[in-house]
Amino acid sequence: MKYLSIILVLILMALVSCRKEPQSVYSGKDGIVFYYIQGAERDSVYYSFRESAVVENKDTVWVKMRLIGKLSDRPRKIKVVTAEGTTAIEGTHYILPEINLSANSFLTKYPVVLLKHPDIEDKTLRLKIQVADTEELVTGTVGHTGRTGINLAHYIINFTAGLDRPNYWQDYYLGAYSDGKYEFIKEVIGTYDFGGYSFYQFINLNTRLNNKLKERNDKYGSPLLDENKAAVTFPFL
Amino acid sequence: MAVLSCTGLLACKKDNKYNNYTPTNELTVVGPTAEILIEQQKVLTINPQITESIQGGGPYTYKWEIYRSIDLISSVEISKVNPITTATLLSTEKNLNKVITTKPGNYFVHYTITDTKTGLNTEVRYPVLVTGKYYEGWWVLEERAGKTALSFLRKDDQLFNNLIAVENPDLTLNGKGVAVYTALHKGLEEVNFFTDQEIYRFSANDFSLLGKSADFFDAPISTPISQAYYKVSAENGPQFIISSGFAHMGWSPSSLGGGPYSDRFTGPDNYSLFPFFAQGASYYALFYDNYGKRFLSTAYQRKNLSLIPKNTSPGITFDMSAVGKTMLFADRGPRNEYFYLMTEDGTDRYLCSVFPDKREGNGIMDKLTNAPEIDKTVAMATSEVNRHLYYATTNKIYRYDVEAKSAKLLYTFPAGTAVKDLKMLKGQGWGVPDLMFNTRLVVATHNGTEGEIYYFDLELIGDIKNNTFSKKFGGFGHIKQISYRYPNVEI
Repeated sequence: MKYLSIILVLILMALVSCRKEPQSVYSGKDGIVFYYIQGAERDSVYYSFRESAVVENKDTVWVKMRLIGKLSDRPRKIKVVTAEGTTAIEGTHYILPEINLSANSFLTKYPVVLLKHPDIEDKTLRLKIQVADTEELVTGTVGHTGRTGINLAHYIINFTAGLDRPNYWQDYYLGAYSDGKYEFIKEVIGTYDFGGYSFYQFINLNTRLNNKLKERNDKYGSPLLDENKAAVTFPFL
Repeated sequence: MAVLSCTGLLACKKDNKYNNYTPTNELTVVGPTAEILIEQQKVLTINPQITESIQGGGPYTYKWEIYRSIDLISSVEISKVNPITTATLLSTEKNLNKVITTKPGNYFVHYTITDTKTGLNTEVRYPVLVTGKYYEGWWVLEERAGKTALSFLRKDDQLFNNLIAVENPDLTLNGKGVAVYTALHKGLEEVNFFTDQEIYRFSANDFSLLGKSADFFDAPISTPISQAYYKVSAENGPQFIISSGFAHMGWSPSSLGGGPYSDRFTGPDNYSLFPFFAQGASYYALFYDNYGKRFLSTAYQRKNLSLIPKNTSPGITFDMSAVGKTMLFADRGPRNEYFYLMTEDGTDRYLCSVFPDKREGNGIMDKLTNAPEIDKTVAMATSEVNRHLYYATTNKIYRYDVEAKSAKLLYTFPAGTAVKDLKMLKGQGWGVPDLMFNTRLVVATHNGTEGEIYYFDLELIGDIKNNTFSKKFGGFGHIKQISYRYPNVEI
């Protein structure tokens, strides 16, 4: 009898397990988030008006956004505001316009307008942005999505009108950062942006910079000085 | 127990009631028994003889596939648990008659015959070595009617003339030829061809153009190019180019896919490198600076030429940090001892050696007083078996015995013949070994009418066999340099 009870219980469990689960679907308000692709992109960006190829009094940084929810056959308003930790002033240093997510679209780019104000010549400001909830779109679910995508509640833009140490600067190849050194690198390679350099290109960059610096110093008979009146040097690798 | 006993007894009973065994048709396939050597882009023909054990089998289907051992999951045998993952189908005909387009290397051609009636497969495979057209031999850099040309004297003695123009008819060389070197290691099968204005990179297999200096240098290389030298490191990482006294480093494809060559190395003011370097356990790359007249070194992946620490040990033969002589020729001898022919005042000659495996790397520094015509040397090569130095003057070849400190005349070319280059056939330290290594001297000459290549085979003691050459090839122009193309290294 004892065994019969166990068998009956097992049969019942098996029957219950065959019961169809309800479809798991998202419900609730549609959301929108910032996002980036791991490896190729980051959760923040550095921008310098000086490093920009086109010198203007304002420029736009485009931040990628994606819909978390259902598509709509009509445009929906996206509102972005600053978050705690922002050091820039709205209207003086930046503008966050209202935009629409187009009908039947789940991806867009949000235009953060940066303003070149004289007070950022020698300092870097931080602009931390987040989605403001509206009737139609709220902050969506954050975290990993897919294999390499990361959804974010906040996105950070560090910007200046002068020069600043870029996040891809590597002391091992370039030595300690200085604006004067950065300007010299730009003079040699023609751009401030070498963020995409491979390991090999970084090693080669070091050799090239040392040679060019020696040529320059030999030509003028004195060492190149940076903004701190220190001689510009690179490690010998 | 009774049941078990009965089961045991029944198991012994002969059962011929339910199974009838009918002999099946088996195929015997007879094909090539030795490794097949086929040149890339040539037709491979195999006509196997197939015999049936029972007449009237089939109909059959046929399949010819080609693959490498590394295309199998494990071992070299194909099976259901070890299938071919990336085989290329060559043919579904009974006999194979197909142009081979796979890249050079060792392969198996796998032949499968399927009896469609029984579904049984019969499989055989044949080892095949696919070679490039220029698989092994001597590059011969020459000038013909004032124009740079490159010929190839293949290992089987077949000669290919003017192959840059033949293989790249649309290419016009920029500048005059300076040097040619093979870049040969695992996954590296290239030729670096230097003119005084440009470096060209060709495929070592078919000599198709792979690129020019700007394609593989981060910064423009100084021109005019002179005193050019190339060598890949033993570990197949960094590759070095020395040109016009400057060193540059790039990376072999085996290093994360490879990387471009650097700008010239940093180092002491006005350094001017001799076009050669040594490699060892203590000195990763050991160069010689003919301006400062001293050795300089770099560490792994480094591009700064460092001074060697001053050696104050009593009784040393010489101080590597202050040699004070000009390097003229260099080559590697036995046990990784590098030999250098040097001069102090343009008249005297010194034989210097270093051991880059040792921190105290200095070897000998012998003034050559018993080496006739050493001051007229036009080319030099060393054996890696004996401490022998072979040097050529205008039309003579001498062998200098480092131990005995004396030279012996080995061969005299006819009057009017001038030696242009002399090399020892020797290995790189990796790749396919060859019994001929260190037993053949190869000499390029010009007899007043045409360029010539001589092979001199050596006795164990270093003398020339029968006191004469073993082979001679004519029909060249004014030869500037000869350089060996080693066979590809299997990945």
